[in-house]
Amino acid sequence: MTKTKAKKLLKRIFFALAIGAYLLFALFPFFVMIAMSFSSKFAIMGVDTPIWPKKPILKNYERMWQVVPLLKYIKNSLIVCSSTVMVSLLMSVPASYALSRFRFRGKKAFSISILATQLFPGITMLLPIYLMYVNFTKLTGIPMTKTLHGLVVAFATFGIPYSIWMLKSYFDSIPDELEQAAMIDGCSRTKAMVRVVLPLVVPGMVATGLYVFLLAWNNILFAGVLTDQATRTFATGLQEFASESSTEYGLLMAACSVTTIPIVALFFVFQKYFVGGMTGGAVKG
Amino acid sequence: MKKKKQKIAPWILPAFISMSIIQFLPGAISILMGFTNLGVQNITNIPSTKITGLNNFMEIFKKGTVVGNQFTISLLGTLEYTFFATLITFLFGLGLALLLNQEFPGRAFIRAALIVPWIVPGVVAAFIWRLMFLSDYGIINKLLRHGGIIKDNIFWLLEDKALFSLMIAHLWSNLPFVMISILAALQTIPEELYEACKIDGGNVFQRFVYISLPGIKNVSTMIVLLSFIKGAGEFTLPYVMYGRSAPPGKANLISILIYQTSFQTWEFGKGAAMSTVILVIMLIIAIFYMRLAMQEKAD
Repeated sequence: MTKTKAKKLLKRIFFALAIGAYLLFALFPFFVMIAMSFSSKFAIMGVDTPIWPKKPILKNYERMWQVVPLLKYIKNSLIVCSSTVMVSLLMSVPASYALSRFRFRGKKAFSISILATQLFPGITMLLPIYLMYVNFTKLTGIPMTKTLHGLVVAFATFGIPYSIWMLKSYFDSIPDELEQAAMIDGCSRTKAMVRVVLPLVVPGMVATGLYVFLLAWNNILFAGVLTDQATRTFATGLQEFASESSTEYGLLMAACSVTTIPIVALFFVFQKYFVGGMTGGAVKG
Repeated sequence: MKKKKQKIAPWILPAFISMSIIQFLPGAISILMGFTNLGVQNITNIPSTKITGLNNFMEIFKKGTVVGNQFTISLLGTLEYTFFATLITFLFGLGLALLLNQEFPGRAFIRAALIVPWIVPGVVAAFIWRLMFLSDYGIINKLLRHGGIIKDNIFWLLEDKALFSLMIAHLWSNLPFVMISILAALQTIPEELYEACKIDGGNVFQRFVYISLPGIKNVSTMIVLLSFIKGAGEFTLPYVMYGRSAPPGKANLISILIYQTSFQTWEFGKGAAMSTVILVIMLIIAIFYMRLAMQEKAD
């Protein structure tokens, strides 16, 4: 009796330790980010200064906007990312519906080639896109590099295939009988799709849009090469805090905190919804 | 019911045309570029570009030259990084998912807290880890020194430790997704199966092998493939963690090398040739892997 009790206790201790260790690993860097954002340069560079500063300061949060034009970069990012989401959804909703419902010639080839493009590192796409942009501008005079619309087109290279693939699995989860019923009642296929099926995939569209938005928001590969001072996005702009000689870690971490903490807070509020959508694609796929 | 023939074109054409312009065409151009001497001198003057055949490919594989050495080291480093990053992320993710699959007080909160790293943008994560890994005033060395574990600072971002440090940062960002995906699959396994196995005398280990593992196999196949793709194309992490300097040795992952070759020394032909080699390698591994996964399914 006591033996099984001891065993149970031991199991509990192991369990708590394992979870605790990972909790520390997961949250500690986040804590470091916040602590450094309140630290002066001295407190960060000191050899024996504590991680949480003795005298927390707010100066970083004031100064960061002046050192780097963050507001402009955030605005650029918002414009580019939401346009990318809109373009991606617009192109992929009909296509993913067709892939889910219809049989047609070349369907398999099309869906495999969409998937295959996602296999390759982004850098392999950047080279030809850059070349195409430069020559397109030379031929037509329409600027592509260093513009926001050029970046949206480049971001669509992952936005569209990603949306098609994810939305297809949402359409798959809705029985075809729904449209059949509507079509017997006299609806056309398009009407049935728009009126009956589309409202049901709205959560899926929101989830898909959110992921595409985040992918675009995080991208520094395309955004780094295809933008300049005026069109720089937030993620690439952060690097301006690191100059040739030194990095302003206090300012950098303040800028990181300002954009990250709201997302994390939002996540905690909408936790359940988020987790379901996040794994939906993987489990069904 | 009369079967009307559905017109497919309007549904599929917008996506097909845009994909052709921004994916299939660039893909083809990328491969063609590898066989030319495209560079800074003729990037806007395509007619003057010369076809150089296999020259670029021979150069990047030539031993002893600077380019050849760099390419081999990057390629091997990327393979090593991808393999181990995928492996440790999967193993830790599986372990955590098994732990979290049990009932305990505060589970919902802890699960949400564990997902935080996944919400932190990749660029931000890379900056935080760069700050933590710094040698003289980095947090990790600070803690180790205070704990009396080390006397001299460890250079986490240099030489042979660089790849390891990258993997830790990768683990931090990617573990939540793997954990949550496996957990979701575990929770679809009906409790009765475990009960039945218990009654038949199955121990913890047997229950894991005969019930949990088959239940998460499909998800695992997918996750490993996704991790592999993500690892092989890793750019943000090394690029941000090393700032303006090139990551040392093997940590100069292939995406970074292609970036340097193409947009710093402007040798587009060579960069494209490297891309093509990566494309072929990834295609082979992916096909091989999917075959293996399908075969297991059929058995």
